[in-house]
Amino acid sequence: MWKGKHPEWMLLGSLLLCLSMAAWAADDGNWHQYRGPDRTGWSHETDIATTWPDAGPPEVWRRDVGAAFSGMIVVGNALFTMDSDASKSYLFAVNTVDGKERWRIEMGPVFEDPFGNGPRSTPLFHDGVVYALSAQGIFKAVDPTDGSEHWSMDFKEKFAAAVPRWGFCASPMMVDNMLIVETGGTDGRAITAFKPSDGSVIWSAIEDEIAYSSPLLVEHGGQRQLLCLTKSGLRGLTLQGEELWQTAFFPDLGITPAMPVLAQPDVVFLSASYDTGAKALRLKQADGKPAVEDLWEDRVMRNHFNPSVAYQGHVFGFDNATLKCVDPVNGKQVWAKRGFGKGSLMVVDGHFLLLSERGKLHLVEASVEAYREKAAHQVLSGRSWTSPVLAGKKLFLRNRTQMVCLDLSR
Amino acid sequence: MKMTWLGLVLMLSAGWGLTQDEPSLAGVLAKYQTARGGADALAKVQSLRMEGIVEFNGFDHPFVMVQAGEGRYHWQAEGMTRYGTSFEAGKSMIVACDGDQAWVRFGTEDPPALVDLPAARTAYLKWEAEPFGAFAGPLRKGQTRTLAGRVDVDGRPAFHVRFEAAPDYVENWYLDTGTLLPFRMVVEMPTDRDYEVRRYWYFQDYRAVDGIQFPHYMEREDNQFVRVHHVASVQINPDVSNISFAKPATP
Repeated sequence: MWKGKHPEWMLLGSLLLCLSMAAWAADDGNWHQYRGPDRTGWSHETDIATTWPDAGPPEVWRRDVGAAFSGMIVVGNALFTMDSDASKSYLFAVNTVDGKERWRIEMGPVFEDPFGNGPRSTPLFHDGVVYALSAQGIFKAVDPTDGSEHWSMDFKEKFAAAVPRWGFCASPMMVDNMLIVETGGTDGRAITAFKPSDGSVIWSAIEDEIAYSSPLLVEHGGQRQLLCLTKSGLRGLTLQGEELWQTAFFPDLGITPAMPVLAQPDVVFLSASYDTGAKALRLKQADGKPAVEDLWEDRVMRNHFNPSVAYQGHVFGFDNATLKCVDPVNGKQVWAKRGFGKGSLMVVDGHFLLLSERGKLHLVEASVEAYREKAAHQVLSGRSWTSPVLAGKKLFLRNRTQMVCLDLSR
Repeated sequence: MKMTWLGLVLMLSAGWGLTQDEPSLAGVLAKYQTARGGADALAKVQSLRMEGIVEFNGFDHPFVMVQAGEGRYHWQAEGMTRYGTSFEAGKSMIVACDGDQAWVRFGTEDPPALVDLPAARTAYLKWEAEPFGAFAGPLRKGQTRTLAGRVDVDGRPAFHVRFEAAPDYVENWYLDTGTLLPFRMVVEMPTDRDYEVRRYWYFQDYRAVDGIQFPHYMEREDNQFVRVHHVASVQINPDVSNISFAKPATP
């Protein structure tokens, strides 16, 4: 066919393939997991547009999506997220240049909930593979090029897990070539570490109900720990799954989807809604072993589902529908600003990009002193609970019906 | 009405005196009345009708709220199901009280569900029915109204007026020390939860309607639910004869 007649096409094809593979291999500058490169809600990008035209930042594309609260990840020119239709859940890939869909695979039956159907968890990209968890507990590893499946499992079958009231919500993370995720299993299998190559179990830990929270990796005293927030509270685990310590966090609530935040190098911040509140812990050593010390507990910050972000030693987040700046050491509120509903925010280049519950995007100077808005623009409408994502100076926003790409380059 | 009585008492007991060092409850309430539009104007208010948009869980629902006094209250939001899970055109949610029993109508079924509210919420709605709530009328048996002092609320100096309206039902009002207008109210009331739950109201964007100041932004936070009322119009002493305060008969 054309191969023999047009060797230049072969060369171009090979080049494109190489470029594509290089893009899959490169993590830097991408938003490859829940809450970004460091799992903190921070972007490392600089020089974004901090003055916007009256019509808002240029819209690159806009497309329809199905129902989900699943976050987006971006690797190279591909965006991965999940949605659903009336009967199925899906993982799909979109070209970030034009918003066109590259591929779509089924992730099992739709998860139905009056507040919004579909997946909640955010996919993870690592070492050329995309991992995704549906609200019904279907966990898959797929090829980012075409969605072809490396392996798949169902937490209900593998771990005797019951689908939680609000579905499986936690987002997987990769640590030392271990895939860590809430599995919700019985018999001490609330959290599991998988071998990413084949999905085999390395270890499982914690005898507790899961509480919709994603795990976090921290390092203190030269030792790395996994922080896992389940129904009874927060636990520190070794990377081998052994429990180091635990502390209670509103154990009667059982709904703590806002993942732990490392507010300062040795201060961990937890928060939950339902009129409970927040708690701060200090990581320390006791008898030569990792331990924690409770600092305070207060209603001052009640993150419902989107966690706070840490910036300049403080935490910024939504106390239900009030944006607040709180000192994590003493729990004192520094400032508060109403009017966003239950929004979400990320940090980039000294600014917050804040998406209100009704889909209005705000550019705010990141400051401990006061709320200082630089620009705002209505981008989406209706319930918008999914956090903004920034990659390559392109901002990606979505809700349950639409996904938008904005150009934030100067 | 009750505001006349209250205004007279305040005038006699406190005049307009309110010293920086020793504020009195009577002084604070008198200043409050002046700030809202004056005792005479307030006394003429028998009922209120507010309309606008209530923002709930990311959706905008047109709403009507009627406060008719004597425990009669009606709140209706178009397109809202019980928890505002979605906007469903043609559906509506009603929360109302006829002065005796509070009830709620909700749901997407036909007919919608019709449920009596428990005693604590009935007590709450009875006070919601009063146009000026804790600041109006003589105290009834067992009720107390106290000035809990000057406090700092999110960096804003405030007078804290505590109103124990009924057993297990307390309203904590926070009035700006400069304007004397309320900007926050926290309700303490019983709950069926394993943990304490409070209800918060936030008031801002005061504008004059017929000489009386009304907040045009009212945000209610109840457990994890937040409803923001963007008030477009306020009608004083409207015709309430066509408003359904009493629970409709079950079909």
